[in-house]
Amino acid sequence: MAGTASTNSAPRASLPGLPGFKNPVFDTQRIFRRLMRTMSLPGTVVTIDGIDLPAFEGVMPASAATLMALADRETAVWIDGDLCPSGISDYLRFHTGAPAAKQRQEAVFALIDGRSGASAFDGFNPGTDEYPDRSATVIVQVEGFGTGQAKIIDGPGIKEPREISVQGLVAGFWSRWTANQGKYPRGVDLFLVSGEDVLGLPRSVREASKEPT
Amino acid sequence: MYVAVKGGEKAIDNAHEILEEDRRGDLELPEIGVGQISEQLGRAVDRVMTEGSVYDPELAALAVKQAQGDLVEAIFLLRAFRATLPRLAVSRTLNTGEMRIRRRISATFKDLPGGQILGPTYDYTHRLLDFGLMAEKAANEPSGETDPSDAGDQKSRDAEGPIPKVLDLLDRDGLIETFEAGAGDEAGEEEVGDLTREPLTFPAGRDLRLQNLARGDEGFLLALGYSTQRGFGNNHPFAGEIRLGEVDVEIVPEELDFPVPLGEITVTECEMITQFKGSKEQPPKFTRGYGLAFGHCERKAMAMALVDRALRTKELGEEPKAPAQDEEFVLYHSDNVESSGFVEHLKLPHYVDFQAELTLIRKLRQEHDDPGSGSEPAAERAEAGE
Amino acid sequence: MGDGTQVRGYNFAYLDEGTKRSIRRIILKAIAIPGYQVPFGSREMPLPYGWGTGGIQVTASILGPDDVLKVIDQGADDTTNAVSIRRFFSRTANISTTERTTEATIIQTRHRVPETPLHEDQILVYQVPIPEPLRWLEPRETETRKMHALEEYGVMHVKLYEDIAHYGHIATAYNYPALVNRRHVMATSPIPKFDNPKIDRIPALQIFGAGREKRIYAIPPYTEVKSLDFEDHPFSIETWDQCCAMCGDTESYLDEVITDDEGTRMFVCSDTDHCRRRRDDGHAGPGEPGEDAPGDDNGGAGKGLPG
Repeated sequence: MAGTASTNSAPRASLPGLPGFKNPVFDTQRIFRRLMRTMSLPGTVVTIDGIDLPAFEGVMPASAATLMALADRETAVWIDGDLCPSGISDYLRFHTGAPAAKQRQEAVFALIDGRSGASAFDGFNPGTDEYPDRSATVIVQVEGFGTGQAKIIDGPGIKEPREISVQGLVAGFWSRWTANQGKYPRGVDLFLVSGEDVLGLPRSVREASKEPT
Repeated sequence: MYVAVKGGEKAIDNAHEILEEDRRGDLELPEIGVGQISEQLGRAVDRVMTEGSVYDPELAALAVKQAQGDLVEAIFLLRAFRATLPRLAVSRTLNTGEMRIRRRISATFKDLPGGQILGPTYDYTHRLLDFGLMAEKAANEPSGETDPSDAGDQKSRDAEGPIPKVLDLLDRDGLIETFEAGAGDEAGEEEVGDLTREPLTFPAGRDLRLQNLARGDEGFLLALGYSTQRGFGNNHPFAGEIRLGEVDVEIVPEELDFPVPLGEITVTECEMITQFKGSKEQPPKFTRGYGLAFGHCERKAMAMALVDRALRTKELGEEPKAPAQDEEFVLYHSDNVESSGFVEHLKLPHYVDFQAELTLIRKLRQEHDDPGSGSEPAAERAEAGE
Repeated sequence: MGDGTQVRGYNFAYLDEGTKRSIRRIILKAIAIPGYQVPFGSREMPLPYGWGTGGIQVTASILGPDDVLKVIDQGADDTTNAVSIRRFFSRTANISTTERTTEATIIQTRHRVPETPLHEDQILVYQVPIPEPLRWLEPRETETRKMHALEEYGVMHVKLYEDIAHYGHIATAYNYPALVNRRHVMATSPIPKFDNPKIDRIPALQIFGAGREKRIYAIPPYTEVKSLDFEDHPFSIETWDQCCAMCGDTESYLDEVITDDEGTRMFVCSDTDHCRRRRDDGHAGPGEPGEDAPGDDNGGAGKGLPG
């Protein structure tokens, strides 16, 4: 059937490397659609399953899948210090052409650990007033959804204010989020990742008053 | 009985069939070959390559054939093909100073090193229809033996190496502005923008401006260039140099440290010299306008150079007054694939919006005839609170 | 509806994977900033600019093998451009297509929002010619971009207010501007203002693609889209004195059809699927003038116009 064409971004096919997607065309499409769903319906957890990528120490499956589906040579990727030894950076460069970001400010994508205070998402590029889209998308790895600190969120994509709870976020995460939201329309967008699950937090999401209307 | 229009699919199929017959024309006559087009309609092919932004004479000839000689349509065909091609590498900057020249003229000097080489040009032909070409085999078939060097007065240039560029001669005297090449520029490694990947933003740098103009419609640029000569942004241009010939294209692969030649392409280059009155910071000097096109596209390269210079108005601290000096106006309207698409989209049905306008116009007319009936909310369903 | 084969030499859904990837990133940013126009590296498509290239690029980037695609133009599935685009995708992606709004996962549209309410699992993709709502008031992109950045929409309110001063009401019938998420004014693609209430807080994701102008913007589900108005001049929509001649609907957007050389008019639903569904459910309209209703009884609006 369809999908014989490969990505055009693998720069040096002669280098040895771990395998990428089994079916680049349909795998990336499926990952994207789930990411788009959680981004457009914030609070909805999506599961990125059935994607058989190699494992990297400390890197969750949905994190690797997200970067493999979205990054290319035009998007510098920042990898949190603790996750660097895993080799994910070289793997991404080999398969997508994405360069490693040297500075946080230049990262288009970033992968950080939710508990690490040093890796706070607010150090990344929030875009400019005229081009707020030129902002970073940050993948924050957490321990799980449905337990942990609960928050009521509201905003575009949310029918009625709804509760989300996330386990494994650094203290002060939500006050940083409020500060990020305060820059709107500038701001970074987040994918919170736990294993194969992803919860999108676009910058437009705000913490709602305690009692849902 | 009225039925909602059906059968769009069949209508399209039939239209395509008729188009194909129309394209082929009289079957008694032999079909024109792609090779014949690229050899004998070379100027058309060159324009399609330039504005189609792909150097491939065979594909451009195919596009001309498929489009029945409608060049804007052919350019569109080639662009649509180009859009699916991966970008594998960025070449080094072309060195037109090393061009193997077939034509080279300068209007600014009577004679100069390397000489004036007329080459293949219509410039001094008398525009009389040549009825000899009507015959299947033209009576005046060229011998194919003319030595290109005979079409000029240059003297044994082979011995002297590449022909120097006219503007470099002015540069030696410090009379013309120079562009500071970045460190990476020499090696062709400086990052240049690509508006086929990132849409235009303003102010556009020189790289994006030139890319836009190179892809821009010849007729549009010609009219704009012409307007600058007629006082709408007067910049007193001189054709410093126009050269046509072959240049090498090279890339430096990531894993190698040396350039690898990919082959040669034919280009037309035009450097316009214009006066600059000077400002508080800068003494009077000559400034440049630059044009480059694939193949032999002299009119395009010249028009491009004029418009390039006109668009440098702000950079040089001149007061913008004319359309050709208006960056947004020029760069947003130069592309004929964009403009022909949007103009021709008016052929698509618009009856839903027209219906909305009909309703509105009727209402406005009614109110005009009967002022009292005006803004009665009963005529419309209030949606304020849903 | 694909015929089991795909055009040779091209990727699934035509676009190369690199282009899709960049457009997908743009779509995610567009969703994160509802109503804000994100610049994107629009490609030349095999269909001309102005004929739906923005919508096609969006659809091609989101489309998967399990999707069911519906394409409408002016509300109808069988207008030639809708047929052409639907055929483009069945050829290049070999996917299923449908004319039924309820069966579609992706609906690409030009100028209309389907009458049938959409749900969370559907995506509405619009083809947009001029994405900038302020363009007619300020031709320069550098200026309009600043105005959006500063949330400086005074000129738009002045324009609408001048309408009221001049006509007694706002004289914009389609592409009626709306404020999205209380922050960005957006162009409504252009749909007739009749459809504006149908894009406000709906469960479906809406993505707008402008190919020639190289912009993508989006409205996430349940996002407020408020048509601009004034307290003493609230937003209102068109109504007809007639019903659909074929299905009798009094609530849907009607097209005016001229049925003979004398300029006799009848009104029919613009949404062909909606009209068919109603007729399947047993609804019927008065029929063609001169048929069931002799003597031209098709309402006042058509009368008194030059034939």
